[in-house]
Amino acid sequence: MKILYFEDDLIDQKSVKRLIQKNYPQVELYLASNEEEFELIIEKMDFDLILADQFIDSVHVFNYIKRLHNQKIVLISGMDSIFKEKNDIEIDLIGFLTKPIKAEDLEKYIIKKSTIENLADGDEDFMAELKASIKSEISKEIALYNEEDSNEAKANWVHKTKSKITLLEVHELHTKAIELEKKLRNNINCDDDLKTYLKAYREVLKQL
Amino acid sequence: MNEIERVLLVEDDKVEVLKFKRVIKQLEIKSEFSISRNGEEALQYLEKGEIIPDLILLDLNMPRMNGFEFLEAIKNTEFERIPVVILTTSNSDQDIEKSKRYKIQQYVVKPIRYEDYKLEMGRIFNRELSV
Repeated sequence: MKILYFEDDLIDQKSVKRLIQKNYPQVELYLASNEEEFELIIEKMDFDLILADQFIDSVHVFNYIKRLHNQKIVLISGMDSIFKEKNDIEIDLIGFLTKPIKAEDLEKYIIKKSTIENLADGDEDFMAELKASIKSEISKEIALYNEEDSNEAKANWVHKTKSKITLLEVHELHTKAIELEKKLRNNINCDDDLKTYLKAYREVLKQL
Repeated sequence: MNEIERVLLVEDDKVEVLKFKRVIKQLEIKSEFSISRNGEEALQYLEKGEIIPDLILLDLNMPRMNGFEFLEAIKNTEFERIPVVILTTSNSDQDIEKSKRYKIQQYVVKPIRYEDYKLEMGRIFNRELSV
């Protein structure tokens, strides 16, 4: 997802930049801090979303963005008054944010790609190959599970499954895998937990 | 800086191999890659002597011959001079400590987030290798 953040206050710019990079690493973020930079970048590329501060160098940002068409724009302000102003000027905004911006404020505007989507990066053939590989690896691992194995071997088994769980972002199971591996490395028997884990792992395979 | 022309990736997990190839493509790394699915295959590959890699990226948790067993097998052989980077999901102190017994370049814990993984790969391939 490509986002342009139009903001003249460099401190705000820095903090939102950090926020986006930290919470939405998949976002390709571009910055413009004045009219010239904005014009130049808008000329060159399209964006999935534009985050625009209400005032750029004391000029209302509507003066810059009014000529844009079919752009998703979110207006950012230090004041709540923007709601009133929105009705005065005919600009198609998809939302408003009030400073200071928090990660959760951006959630409804930023599409969070999954790890495998990020990895495939729009390449459908690769996505199909990746999914097929994940399926085959999970099937192989399920078949390899042996209740009679030592705790160390079981820990290695859990460890192997973890990479698929991570990739598929099954967070609850990932936490469980960490716990189980730790116990097994400390030679603590946890066969019942392992059975539950194996069942959940089978479910992951079914969902694919 | 020593050019990394040939790389041997020792990894049994198909998904990890796919992920690795993807990153290499995205980073436009031009090195030539060979893949061995475990330590035993890697050893056979080296012993054939046709191609000597400039770098070995080594997973630890593998069947037949794991990463440490492979390092043990090449210890005090001509292959010991090949730079090895351990590339693993294991961050256990035990494994990190054990890796110090061998002449490895680096111990890299594979980052969970794909972007971090990509960054780490970029770092590995830009790093100067001491032979």
